[in-house]
Amino acid sequence: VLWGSNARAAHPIFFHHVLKGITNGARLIVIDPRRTESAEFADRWLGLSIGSDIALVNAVCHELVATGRVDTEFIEHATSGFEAFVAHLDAYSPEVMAPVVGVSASAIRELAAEIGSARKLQLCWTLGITEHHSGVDNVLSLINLALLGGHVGRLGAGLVPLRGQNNVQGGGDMGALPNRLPAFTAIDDPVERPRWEALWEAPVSPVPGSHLSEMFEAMTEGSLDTLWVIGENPASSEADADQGRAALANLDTLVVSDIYLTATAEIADVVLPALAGWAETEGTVTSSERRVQRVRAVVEGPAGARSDLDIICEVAQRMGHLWLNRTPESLWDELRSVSSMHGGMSYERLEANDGLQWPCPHLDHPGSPILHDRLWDRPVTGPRAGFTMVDWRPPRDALDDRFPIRLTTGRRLDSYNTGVQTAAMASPIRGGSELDVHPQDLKTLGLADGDRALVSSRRASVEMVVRSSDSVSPGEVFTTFHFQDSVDVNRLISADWDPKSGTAEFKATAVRIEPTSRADAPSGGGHGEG
Amino acid sequence: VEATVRADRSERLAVGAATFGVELAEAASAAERSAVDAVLSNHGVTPARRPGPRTDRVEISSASIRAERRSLLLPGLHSLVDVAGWASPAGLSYLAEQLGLRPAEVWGVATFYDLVPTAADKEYTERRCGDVICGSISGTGPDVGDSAAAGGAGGAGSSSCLGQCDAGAAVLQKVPGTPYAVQRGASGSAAPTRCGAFDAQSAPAVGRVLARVLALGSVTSFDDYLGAGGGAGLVAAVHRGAEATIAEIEAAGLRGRGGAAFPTAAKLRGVRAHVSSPKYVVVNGDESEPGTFKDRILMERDPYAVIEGAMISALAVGAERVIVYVRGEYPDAIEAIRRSIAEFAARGWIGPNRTVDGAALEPLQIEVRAGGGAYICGEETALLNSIEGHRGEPRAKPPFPSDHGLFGRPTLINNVETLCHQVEISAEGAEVWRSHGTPQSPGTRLFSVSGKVEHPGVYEWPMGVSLEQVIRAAGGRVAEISAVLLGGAAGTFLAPERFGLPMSFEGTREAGVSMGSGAVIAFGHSTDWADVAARISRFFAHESCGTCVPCRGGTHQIEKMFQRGWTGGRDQAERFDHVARAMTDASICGLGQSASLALGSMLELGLISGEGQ
Repeated sequence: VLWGSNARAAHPIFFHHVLKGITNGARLIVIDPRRTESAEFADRWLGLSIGSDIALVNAVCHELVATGRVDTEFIEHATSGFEAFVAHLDAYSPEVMAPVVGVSASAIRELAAEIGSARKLQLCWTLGITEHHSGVDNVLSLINLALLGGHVGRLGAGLVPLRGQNNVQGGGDMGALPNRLPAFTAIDDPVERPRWEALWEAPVSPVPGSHLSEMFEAMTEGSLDTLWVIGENPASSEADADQGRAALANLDTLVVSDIYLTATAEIADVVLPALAGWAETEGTVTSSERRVQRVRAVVEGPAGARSDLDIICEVAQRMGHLWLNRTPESLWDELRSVSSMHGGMSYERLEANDGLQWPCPHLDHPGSPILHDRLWDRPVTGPRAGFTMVDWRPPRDALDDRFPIRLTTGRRLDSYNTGVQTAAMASPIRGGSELDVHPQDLKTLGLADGDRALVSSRRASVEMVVRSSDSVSPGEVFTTFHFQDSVDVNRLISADWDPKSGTAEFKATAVRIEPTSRADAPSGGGHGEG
Repeated sequence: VEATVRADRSERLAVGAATFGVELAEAASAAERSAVDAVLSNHGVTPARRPGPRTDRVEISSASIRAERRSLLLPGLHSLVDVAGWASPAGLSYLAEQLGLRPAEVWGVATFYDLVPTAADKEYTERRCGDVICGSISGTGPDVGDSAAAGGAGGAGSSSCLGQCDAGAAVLQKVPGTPYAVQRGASGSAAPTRCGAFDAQSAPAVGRVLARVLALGSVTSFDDYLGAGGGAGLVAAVHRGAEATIAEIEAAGLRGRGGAAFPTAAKLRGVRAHVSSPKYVVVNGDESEPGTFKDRILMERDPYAVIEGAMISALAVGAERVIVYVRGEYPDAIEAIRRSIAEFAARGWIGPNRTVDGAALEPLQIEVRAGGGAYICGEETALLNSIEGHRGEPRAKPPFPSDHGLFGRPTLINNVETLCHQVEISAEGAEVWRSHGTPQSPGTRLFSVSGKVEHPGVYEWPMGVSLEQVIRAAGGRVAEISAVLLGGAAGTFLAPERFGLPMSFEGTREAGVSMGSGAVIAFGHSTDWADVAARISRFFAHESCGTCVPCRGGTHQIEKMFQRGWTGGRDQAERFDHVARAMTDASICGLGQSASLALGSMLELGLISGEGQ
């Protein structure tokens, strides 16, 4: 099941493996508001209305429980909170949820029947699940669904968040989170934290730091005055881009390390040219399947560019800390000395095994292809997996008479994120930054394919070219975020963030669309409807 | 922004026009669209793209729906070519959309087939046969250099063997708005292909598989067919039952007549052993071996027998669907087969509720698919890929089609002539059939005789007949013949001293040669052997599908050796041996394995040497 993922366009290499599975007889279900390129390969596509994910998951769970298509033995053996969960599902019958999801109750039942008949189910998702105000709850609801059928901790089944880069997993593993130390150690853990403090010979504050959305709020308030951005382009990628750029402008000092002169680097006080992580530096990355792999420098980088490690050590030195002989391998070994899940992953072993999957606690450990197989131990090793009661709530950016249309965004095959690395490459199939609008809506709006239109949200207005496309449903529109130079779509998006993850509501914006002739031209960087 | 988008679009068309050298339409023409629509609706397949904008929020598909759609790719390409004369980029895009495929996938398949002109070669209106018989022997084909200059794709105006070898100078014609047509003997009026049958003493006989053809010339109606003894094989099989029918074919010792000579009963048993449905029967009517035209005669003149044979196979293995894959260069055969299927269906022998001689049978569906002009598709797994809408490239075996065939299901695939023999065996019993031929090679077989003989044509002989008898009966004089190419381009040249060779499986095996498809091509003393070698080498270089590197590269290396003139130097001979051995050892299908055989035997016989060059 691809849920909120257009892997065909966004994860083409992963999708290549999906295609192999399909060729070998696997069934593919795609749950996405849009009939995406991925959906064209699916046995079943269900176009839920934007932001109704929890409504649909809960309704499917309701149906699975009602029809007994659940793995009772697994639930009793390895989970907790099932009874309360079932009681919670009472409010989520397919009939009640059908109008929310935008499909019939029988369509939900059929989906449940198909999911319930799967011997091995993989639930894969991307930003269509996480970039909502309810992003974490969306994921929790999918976990409930997987637990119902015992589709965790088994070969060929599982929960698969598809990562957007080769090292998203590794970044989190290494502690690049405001409330975690490396190896997901909670920063306020009174037992674990001292081990890291001992290793580093320095105290670590037990108070969690700020996540990205909080940082932008702090910058706006002026309580955060210095920012060092490493390999990110928030001037282009942040929701409510006008506000985001104002926040960056409010800083006393902005430092950017990057391999490109990004939009953020352009407004920085100091730019530190970095070597590319791939092919120019030594180290490791960790893929979505927890596989730690070596990366190697095989070409010399541009003159003057330095590795992130070099840059950080050099800055530390200027601040009075002499970090001598820090090599990628010595740092890695330092991590291994405290992080048990990485303990057995020497560079030598990583090389010999073409990578290893954590947890891999000691040098004789083969690595762990399956993370949650403990749930099948008798008795269960460690804590049981808990069901979580999550409720559906509509997107925060509500639809009303003034903003009656739901905008969502996504990627196209030949462009990547803010286009820093892809815009310069020619592509014969590159579309532009058109706004996909259903032909019925175009007619209602008095627009034709190729017309210019003013798209306004509560935050800003941008001018776009509309494209007639029935890949979207009536009442919903889609565009990409690759082309800020021509269409700065992130200006429209609400910076209102999921309190649990700090991620903004990128995927569900309320907008209004008007032909440009009838609307006022956008007034530059104004905040519009506020 | 608007300007960018608008410019994008026209720029894309401009780039396309520059690439293809033709004006590109932004959208498929109404004729192209309705041709494609008709292919889908005729097959009862819903397009991936329904008319009008989508509003449903649920869509259901399945692997089998997608596979069924994709299998209409080659018929769709044919339909585009029929109406427009070529497969235009806009037409291809429309087809891709309707079939739910990526344009690149459609392009990949379209460019695989000679009969699907895409932009680069859309100016084709006719192609003359440029193979050894029309070219070297009759001297009526295009010069061997013609196509080399045009660089691949058979060269502008030239085609691989068109299977009209008895008439010479065949031309494949393409008039937009009409299907392909073949003009036989374009240089003069050509009589229909001569047919004959002989007994072991070289006396004229009534024929077994050719009996109706010899009696009626051509079977053109179901009633004529029944009147001439047709249908008896199927009726006997129905009453005998599947197991007993296979046993009868096993007792007869029938082996495949397509070239590989595999025991037919073993294939039948292999497919029958699979209990789950669906199972398929595929008729291999993609006769493309140069010098071979016997299956064309059967399909054109006794199509009912071909279908009857397929129905016996379907009954024996429990298949629910038969696909008859006929060479695209055989429009008359395609039409005859199509007509006979319709008549069988009208009589209730084919269809969902069918009865034969009072017995109700399981539903059976039969349809014709036209090939795209690729020799490789005569290879059974390449043919299956072609039906499925993929490039006609062979699959690795095992698994064999009897386990993993069409759409991955158990599939029986037989040559046309084999099926016709099967009809005879079922009708008259194994004993009668075994009374012909030798104990190890029972029955009769068809020979396509062409070249330096008075009466080229298709002749039926009991197995074990000598090559000399076959040549003489066709009006060939041994004294005037310097060599015979037995088995077509994938066969072997034999010198006159070996004309006594018995045409039986055991006889040819002992001699280290193969009858192959039963092609017998006679070459006179005035033959320009360098030209023959050049044509054979070009044939394989053009027809190699490119799947296996040794074949893809080797056929071109060998082509260059013979195109530039064989020097006969030791270096070149060694190089030929090396390339030939690599191709034979490391190609997955018969094309690469046999592509050097004929040329190797020419060198062995000294037909071509470096002297004087």
